[in-house]
Amino acid sequence: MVERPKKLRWSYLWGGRTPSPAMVAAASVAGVLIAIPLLYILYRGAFNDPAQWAKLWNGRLPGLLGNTIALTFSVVVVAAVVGVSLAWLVERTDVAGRKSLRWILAMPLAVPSYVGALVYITIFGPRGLVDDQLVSWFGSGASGVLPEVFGFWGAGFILTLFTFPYIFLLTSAALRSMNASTEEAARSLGQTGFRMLRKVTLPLLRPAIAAGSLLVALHILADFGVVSMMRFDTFTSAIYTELTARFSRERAAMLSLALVILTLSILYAESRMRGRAKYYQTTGTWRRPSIRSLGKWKWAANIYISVILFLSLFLPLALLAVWGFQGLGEAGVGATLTAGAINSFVVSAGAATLAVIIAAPVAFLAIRYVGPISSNLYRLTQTGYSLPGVIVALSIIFIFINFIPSLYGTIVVLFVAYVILFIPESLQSTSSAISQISPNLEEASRSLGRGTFRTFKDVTLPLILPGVAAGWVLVFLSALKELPATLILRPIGFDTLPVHLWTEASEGFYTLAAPAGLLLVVVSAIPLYLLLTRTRAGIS
Amino acid sequence: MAQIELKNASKTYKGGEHPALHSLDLTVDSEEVLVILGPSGCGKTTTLRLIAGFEQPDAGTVSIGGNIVAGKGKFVPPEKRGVGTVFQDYALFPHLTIEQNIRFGLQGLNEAVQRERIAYVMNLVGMSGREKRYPHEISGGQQQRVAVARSLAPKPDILLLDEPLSNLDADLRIHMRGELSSILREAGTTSVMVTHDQEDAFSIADRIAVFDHGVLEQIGTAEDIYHSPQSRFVADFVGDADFVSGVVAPDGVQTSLGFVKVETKFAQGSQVEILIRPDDAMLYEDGSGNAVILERHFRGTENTFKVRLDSGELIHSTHPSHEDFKVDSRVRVETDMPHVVVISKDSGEVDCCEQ
Repeated sequence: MVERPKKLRWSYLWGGRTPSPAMVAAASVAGVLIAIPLLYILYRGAFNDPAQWAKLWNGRLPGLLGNTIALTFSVVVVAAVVGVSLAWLVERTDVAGRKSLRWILAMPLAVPSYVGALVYITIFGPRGLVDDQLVSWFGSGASGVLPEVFGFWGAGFILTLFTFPYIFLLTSAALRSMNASTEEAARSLGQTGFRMLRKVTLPLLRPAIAAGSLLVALHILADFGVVSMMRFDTFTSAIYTELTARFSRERAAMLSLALVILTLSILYAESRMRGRAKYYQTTGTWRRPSIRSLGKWKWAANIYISVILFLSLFLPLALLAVWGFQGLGEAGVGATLTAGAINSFVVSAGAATLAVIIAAPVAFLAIRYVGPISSNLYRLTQTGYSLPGVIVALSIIFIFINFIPSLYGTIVVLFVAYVILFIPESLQSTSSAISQISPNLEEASRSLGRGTFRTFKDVTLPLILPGVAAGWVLVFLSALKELPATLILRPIGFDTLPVHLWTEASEGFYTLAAPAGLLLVVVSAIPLYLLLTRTRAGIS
Repeated sequence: MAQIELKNASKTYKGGEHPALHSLDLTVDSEEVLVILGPSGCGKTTTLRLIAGFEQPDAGTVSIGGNIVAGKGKFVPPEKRGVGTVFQDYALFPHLTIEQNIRFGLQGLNEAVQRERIAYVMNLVGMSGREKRYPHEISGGQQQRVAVARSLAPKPDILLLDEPLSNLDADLRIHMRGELSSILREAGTTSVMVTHDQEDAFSIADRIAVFDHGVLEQIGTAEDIYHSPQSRFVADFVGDADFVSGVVAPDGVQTSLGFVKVETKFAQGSQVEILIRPDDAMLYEDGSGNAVILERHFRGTENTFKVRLDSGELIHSTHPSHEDFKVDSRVRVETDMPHVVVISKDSGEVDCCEQ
């Protein structure tokens, strides 16, 4: 008896109400832009000549897999130990300077890890600062006595220094939101000290640590700058070499497929590690957990924190500043740097604008028309988070060379790459802004005679503008720092700041690379500082 | 002015176990003020949203002024329906001034007409002189008036009000009931208001529709609903109600309160309940009476007593506050009911009789 006309089935897919066709069309731009290149590269990788696969399996693949997994695993473990211990010291003990340490310890995130690599190679590398100093003291025989800076240990050291803040930030947020009564209850049940830490506190922190470790792992899987500067072969550097030195897109696609599978298994492992247990606070009354006095260990804790900060923040900043100003004095640097900076700003601003525009309808549908289509589109749009830049670059090469060759080699491909890679950042801030607006406001506008588009423009947009702007800044900053996709896709002669830095560094002119590094760190540090200190997402 | 008609309208929300609205047939007459009354989750807001066009019915039709706006493959979007809505949270645009809020629905009209409409509605709701304020700069009661003014400004054929009084405190609420009632009648718009508060319904409605579990239980004037409920739910939900068991006897019903003389259609000997309102039961001090006072609630001009009958059943009785009884004292309960509502325990059928 229930009549259910065809048209309404469509509405069921959107949670009972049909969005306007224009909105659906606008949102599908994001879907097409992201899905097609990725599916295509996976297809090319998977349906390659089986003989090629066999060759790869007997050749490079096991070594790359071993290197990548070993590096990822080691860095995650060390970064977790550092991040969690720092979070616990800052949130639960009377260590000196706790309040400011909350944001200072997150600041290494402003140093792109390849800039960190640049700094440490310049200090400890062959013909680096220390090497030169040794030679001047002990003669040329002293050159090369330093342990090798390149390779697994060097890459692992750099990546740990500049990624531990992910785990630190998420863990300290979890520690702050943990209710005192949980730990007090444990204490009243006879659990004390480290036993309590192990039995109660750490298990409660598990979701935060897992999420932070995932961010670190994804960062390492996607990292290209550090591993190639440190001359440690992982998937990303191998894909890059296949592409730029051996010109084998097929082999690059196969390696990409392997890397995607590795990434997916890590995502899966994280979802398992997070566990099925849900951690709820039992009551609405929140009390600040008690602060433990470190007593005579306080100085040791402060030395530990100081060493971490010195290595991950002050040393790189100080040296970049010194070399940066030295480098600026050298002939020709000013002009190329300015050109690189202008290019960087133009493509990053363009990409940020595009990302914000393309993400908006996806965010809008996902919040207002909850259903399988909108939530899957949202998820698809977020895949860029877990995709290495080299893979995105490769997929774009495939699509553009095969279907739109006239645009290949223009900055359009850079825009597409940045949008795919960084659209999740604008998507998140836009959708959280939309979810804070009562749908009644939009309905009020509709019942006052304005259609969906006018309603979006006159009501929704003005109200979400701050969130959209924040998303713009995040995308802009990420695009500004992007290295591998830019190296692969840039038009000939088109230098951005990271490209400029990488080119100088790869030819051994580390001081010439410093000004670009300094500029990148400063530009990233300011918004990061504001984000950490002014918003609820950060410290406060 | 327009008539609203819902025919066989059904709506189930995604993930909802039960239909929010089940085969609803409802007609709102032109220029009528209809109040939909019911507990939360009864389908009243869904009905409003179907009329406004914020939701589409799964089945059935919605017509406005004789034209189908939803159903049978047609769907007219909210902006083309000429339906104004006042939201529970008022939904004033926070980035616009009061004047800009009201002007929002007047686009396309020339400036002079816009100004005239703004002045008219601001005066109608008694808010003249506050045009330049922002919503957060005025009180909740004023926001409510602005919301009404904004929705009336484009002269909608139909005005929908979703719990418009529920965010106001008690005094203001009683005051705004009267205001709203007169504003709606002066505007002459066909209005549908949703509330869970029967006092709101009684003081504003021409007719009241009582909903429960997505079904229209009864529609009628306030007096109809109160005195002649068509179901046990309506009897219970509208007004204070107690039920006393009884057996149908010749010429009446024998209850634990005594014999109630009434002509009921139910067969002799069948088990029934009788609806007792607090003003139906009179208490008399009597040491050998059939009930004991359990609680006494002072309510200013009157007292409400909770009384336990010797049968164990509980009823309430109101008396002017000078007629007082002590807790634990024994009383005699007598009934004085111009309307007797008899409910069959077997079928749940209701028989409303004049005594």
